[in-house]
Amino acid sequence: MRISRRDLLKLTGLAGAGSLIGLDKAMAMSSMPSESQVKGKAHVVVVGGGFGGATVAKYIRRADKDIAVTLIEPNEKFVTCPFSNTVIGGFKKLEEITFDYSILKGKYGVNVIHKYVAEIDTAAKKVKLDDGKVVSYDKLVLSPGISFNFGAVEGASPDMVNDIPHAWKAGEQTVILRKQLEAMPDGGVVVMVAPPNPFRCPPGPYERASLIAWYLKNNKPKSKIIILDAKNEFAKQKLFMEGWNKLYPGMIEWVQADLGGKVVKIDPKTKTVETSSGEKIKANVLNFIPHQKAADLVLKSGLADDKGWAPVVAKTFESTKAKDVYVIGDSCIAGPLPKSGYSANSEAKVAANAIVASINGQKIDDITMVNTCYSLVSPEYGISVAHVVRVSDKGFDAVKGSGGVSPAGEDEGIRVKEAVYAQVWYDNIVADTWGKG
Amino acid sequence: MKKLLTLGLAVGMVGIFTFPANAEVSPKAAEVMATTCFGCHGSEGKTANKNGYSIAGKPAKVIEMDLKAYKEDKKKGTIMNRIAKGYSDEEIAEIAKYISSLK
Repeated sequence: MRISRRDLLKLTGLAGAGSLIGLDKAMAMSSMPSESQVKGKAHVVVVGGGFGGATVAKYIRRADKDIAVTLIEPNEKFVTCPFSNTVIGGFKKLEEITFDYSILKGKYGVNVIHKYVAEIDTAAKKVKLDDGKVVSYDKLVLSPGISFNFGAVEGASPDMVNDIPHAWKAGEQTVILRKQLEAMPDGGVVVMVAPPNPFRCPPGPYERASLIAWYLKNNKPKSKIIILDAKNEFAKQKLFMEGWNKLYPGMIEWVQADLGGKVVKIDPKTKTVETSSGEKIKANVLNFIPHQKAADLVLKSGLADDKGWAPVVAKTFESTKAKDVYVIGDSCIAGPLPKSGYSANSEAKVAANAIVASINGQKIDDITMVNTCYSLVSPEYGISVAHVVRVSDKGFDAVKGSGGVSPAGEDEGIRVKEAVYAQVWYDNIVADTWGKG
Repeated sequence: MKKLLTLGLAVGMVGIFTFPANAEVSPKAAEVMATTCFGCHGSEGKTANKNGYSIAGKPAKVIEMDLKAYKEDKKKGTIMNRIAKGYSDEEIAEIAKYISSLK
């Protein structure tokens, strides 16, 4: 579809509005070919096009078309971490969990730039891209996800990920892990090293182990999965273990930190890990999920605390360390909300509302927000968790008596239904975030 | 009298702890809250998967009654009972009105 300059202006709702805002000329030329400057009453720059960033861009435009929004995301296509375990389990293709920004651009008039951000100057309110171009903002939203702390385990390094994929950022890594499982002989050992809290998607490692077990049970039934955990307990534990006993008896061995699960050393050449008790375990397929912290951009911009995550004001998601900078998604600390795609999507809506209200000089209300996460123990066995959290001047408060996990010890019915709802959840949240659906 | 006061205080404290905000819910707040339902019920309340439940445009009274029934465990869902318990009756009423207004 060809879009004329007039159509573009109409689509973006920017024609004739307010004051000039600061995209420099070269930048605007590369991203909006027909215009040398973007007009609007304010310019919001969003960094990161995942569940948080794409949603906040869309919802700001949904609320007020006179606010210009620029989304900066290095990749033209986004592969979701949610449901990437279904690709690893072998019953979905990577294309089914891959999205682009065409609807955000076309329908919502978001200006999308596929570049890396090199640095942020929060005093001058400017973002510098890796090609040297500069974008200025009135409000900045950071939703850049996580970074890895390989240094926490001796021998681990980012160089090993093509042999020992973490697959904790979906895409190429997801495919490598899948191919390794396909190539593994029957009777092989899959070792997963699970990270300490906090980390992206708390039930994720255990869903992954479940869906790997589903694949192995049906194809390589003599194989085994060992999860070496840096924790002594994990999300939805009772439900996962109930499912494992029912579906994959004896196949998955989970070793908690205090009983020999803590991995202190890794030899990437031989795919051997060493635990704190001195035991050495050699893997056929090794899935080492590194320790995590906020994205590098958040860390180097001075927006994180000493634990490596960004503290924010609950009601707005504005950084407590820099004015007019908002941090949402996995990089921030959002009280009891876990680091999940749904949390990021909900946080984006609360932040979008706060940003629009701030620009328009309106009052910002208290909000009750929700996180909902499904995990698949098999393609037809689902479990869930919900969190309902009140954001107010008092901070983040889980609403008493609400939320929690699916009931344990239930018959098959609820598990089958929740597996169906997991797919419903996925199809709807990706449609809400990127517009596909 | 003292007993009554204590009771009043206790009830008040529970109220503060459970729903710390003012009982009144603005239409704007209700809209933001309702949009956080879209992750499961579909963008603008219309499901993209036929096995899901569209909520857009349903009568406000029906949405309100359903949510309260989940909250009080008079109706059994899979996840909605756990979620509905997180909202005050005032929030439920305003969220229902907003969802009902969606086309």
